[in-house]
Parts: sequence; structure tokens; C-alpha cells
Amino acid sequence: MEDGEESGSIERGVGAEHGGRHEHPHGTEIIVNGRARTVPGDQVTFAAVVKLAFPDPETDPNAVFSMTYRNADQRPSAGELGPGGTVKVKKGTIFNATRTVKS
Amino acid sequence: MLRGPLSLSPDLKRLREEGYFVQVRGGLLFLREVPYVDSEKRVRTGTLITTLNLAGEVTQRPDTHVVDFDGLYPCNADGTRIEQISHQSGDKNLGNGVTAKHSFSSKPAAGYADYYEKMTTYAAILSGPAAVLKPGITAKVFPTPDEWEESVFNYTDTASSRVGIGGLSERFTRERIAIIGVGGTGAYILDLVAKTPVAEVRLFDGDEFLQHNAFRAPGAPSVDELREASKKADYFNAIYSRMHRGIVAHAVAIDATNVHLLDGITFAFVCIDAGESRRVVVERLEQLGVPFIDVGMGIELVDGALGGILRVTSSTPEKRDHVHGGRVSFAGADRDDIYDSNIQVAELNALNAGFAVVKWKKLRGFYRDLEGEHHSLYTTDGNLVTNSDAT
Repeated sequence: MEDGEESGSIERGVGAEHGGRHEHPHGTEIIVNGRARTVPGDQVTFAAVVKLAFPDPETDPNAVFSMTYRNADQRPSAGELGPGGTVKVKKGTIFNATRTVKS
Repeated sequence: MLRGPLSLSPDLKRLREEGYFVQVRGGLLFLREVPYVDSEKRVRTGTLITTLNLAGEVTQRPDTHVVDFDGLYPCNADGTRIEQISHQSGDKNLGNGVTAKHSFSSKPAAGYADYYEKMTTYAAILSGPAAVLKPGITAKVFPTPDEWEESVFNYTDTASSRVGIGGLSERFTRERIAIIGVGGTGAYILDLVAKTPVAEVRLFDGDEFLQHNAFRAPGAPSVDELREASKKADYFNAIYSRMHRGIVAHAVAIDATNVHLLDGITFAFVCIDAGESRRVVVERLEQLGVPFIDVGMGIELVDGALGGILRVTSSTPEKRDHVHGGRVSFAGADRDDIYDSNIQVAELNALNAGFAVVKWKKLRGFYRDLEGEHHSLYTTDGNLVTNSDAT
């Protein structure tokens, strides 16, 4: 069985017949804009969070987002993530991503 | 011509008519040239200062029996301190060029009925010993009539004087603020800035104030006011000019043809949706060497509840780069529709405005700022404030 891994959300990690692969988690459940999502591994990039928040395939590479995280598996465990950045996540890490342009 | 408390309040009028040298500045009453004796038995003069309890520019019953004094500690004719009135000592900046060195407390059983009674009582305590050493000396000096203070407010800010922060508020008197966009957040920023003694508040907005705007703006318009469908800049000018005399309204959006209207500004709040206008504005403000704060929010409806982020980004001549490095969007309003939710709610506009005004005041030294952030996000679903881009 193949892992159909791509960047973006996947619902399940590597299959159970590999049995007992403990070092690398099968997928980490995080929250993005209030919705539960699963990501492969434990490092998440800015771009990956944007895709999870806005899964529409019509992407604009120039769009500017404000993004925050908390309950991350790192120090600092909360903060702002900028383009190109990554965060070490664990189950329950929370992201918010939005275009902060309305006044 | 005199306006304000000195001419409207019977107790202050009486002080003037009896020849006391009284002035009202910044919500405080000054009684000048009060003779007293110092510890070396020399006769000097000093100034007694009290806060004023006002309603509509007319004095009410004094709410404290304490006075401040700008001078040395007053003594009896033999040079011993008048201890009975002793209260506190230490420098206190009251604004208006006055630092008080001491304060006194002499409380009659029922408190002072009015400011005439309060000030003449203290003046008599201080000047009595002076008259022993120099017979005939008195606080009734009959000064020549005084010009009324030039104030940016139509009625005195007694909130600041009441808690002793009048000196802090003075640092705003030369500021000329631009509020670019008086939609939800901009209007709440105006509501707060109009309560500070800045020299000018210059508004820019080309839109009309319509019914839905009433639900994201400070105050509560009448149905008749809504029917007028005034331009937002004019609508808010009419309201806030009741309090602040420096409001100037330009019912236009800023673009390349009118960007010169920003000349003379010392600080700006940029409260517009993403677009070409922001690019023009930011470019001009940077050219003019003007610090500014840019605000924006993004709120989404997810599974029946709202959540999102409020942003405050500060730009100063010493630190501009982060604005262009991905903190602020310069994309046109019609692009990126799939990302943009139009949702704003009054309390979020107000909160965003509150953060912005606090940061402005930090940049001006009114509030202590140990973090020095130039970019800050408030995430609603976590009640989380994150700071970035420190100097």
C-alpha cells in the first residue's frame, strides 16, 4: 500500500501493516481556523497552513496572510509565523490564518 | 472675552472680583502670588493649585480638600514650619509649566462648600505670617485682566487633571493626526483621538454613512440623521466637533491626485481595506517621514461561530522594512476574493482601534513600552496577543 502523501491535508498516515513505527508519528492532528486537520510528521510550514486554511485550488502567490500558532511543540510555543517559516507541532497545536485587511 | 469656568462660576468670579490672581488652565485652578514666609523668615510668593470639579464648565462642590503648592514649605513668622497643614512633599508635574513641591491638607468638618472658601482658607493660612513680617501684604493683588487659555477643546478636560496626568497629555498638543478611512475601525480611533488635545484630526473617507454603518460606529444616529446619507467624513466631523475644535474632514479617498492633502501631518492611522490607495498613502507617509499605524482584521465564519485575527502594524522612520516584508497587504481589493471575508463586528472594530491608539500613545511616550513591537496580532479564538518586529 502506498502512502499517497502530498503537501496539504491527508486523512490517514502510513498504513498499519508497517506496524510499530514509533519514531515518526503517523500524522499529527492540529487545528486550523477552528477546524481539525491532520498533517504528516511534526513540522508544518507557513505555506502548508495557508493551504489547509484555504483549500481552494485557486491560489494567489502574492496574497499576504497573518498567521498565529499556539500550543506548539517548541519554544516559543506561541507566536506569529511568517512566510517561509515552520513550526514544530504536536496534537492540539492551533493555527489561525487570515488576511487582516478589513477596517 | 473670558469664557469658561472663571466667568461662569460664582465662586471663581468672587475670587477674581476680590483681587486674587486666579487662572484656569488644563482643568486646574491656579492662585498665584500668595505671600508666605520661608524657613529663613523671608517673605516670598508662591502658587496654590487645585483640581476643579466641573460640570459643563461650572464649578461644583470641591471633591477634595487637598491643594498643591509651587513654592518652598510655608512657615510661621518665626521660621517654624506650619505643620498642621502638612500633607505630602515631592516634585509633581501638573503640566502647564508648573511643578508642585508640596501639598497641603486642612479639612473643615463639613468640607469646603466652594472653591472661594477653599482657596481663601489656604491663602490666609500662608499669608497670615507674611503679613506679620510685612504688614499690608496680601494675596489680593488685583492683576490686570487675563486672556482666556487657547484650548483645542470646547469644554475642559477635567478627566486628566482629576487624576494628575495633565502633564502627560500635553505631549499631544503639537500632533496633527490623519485618520485615513473612517469606517468601523477608523471611526472608533476617531472617537478616542478626539478626546486627546492634539492640534488637528484630519479625516479622509469618500464613502457615505449608511444604515449598516450605524451598527459598526461609535454613538447612535437618529433615523433622520441616517436619512441624510451624509459622507462619513462629514457625519463624524459634525459629531466630534462638539468636543474638539481641530477636526478637519476631507470626504474623499486618497489617491495619487490628492495625496498632497497629507502634508503637515505628524502621525497617521491607516484604516482602509487593501488596495491601491494604501500603496499611495504608505509611500507618501514614508516620504514625509511620518510614523503611522496600519490596522486590519480578518474574521471568518466556521461551523457557526466567528473567529479570526486583529492586526496592528506600526511604521516609524527608524523601522519601515517589515511593512513591505509581508506584514501588510498591498494587493487590490477585488483580487483574492476567495480569501476575503467581509465580516466585521462593532466590538472587534473597537478592540482593534483600542490597540492602535494605545500603541500610538506608546510611540509618543504616554504609555511605557518595554516590548517595542512594530507588529501585533490578536487571535480571537485563543484570546492571544503575539508581538513581532521589535526595534
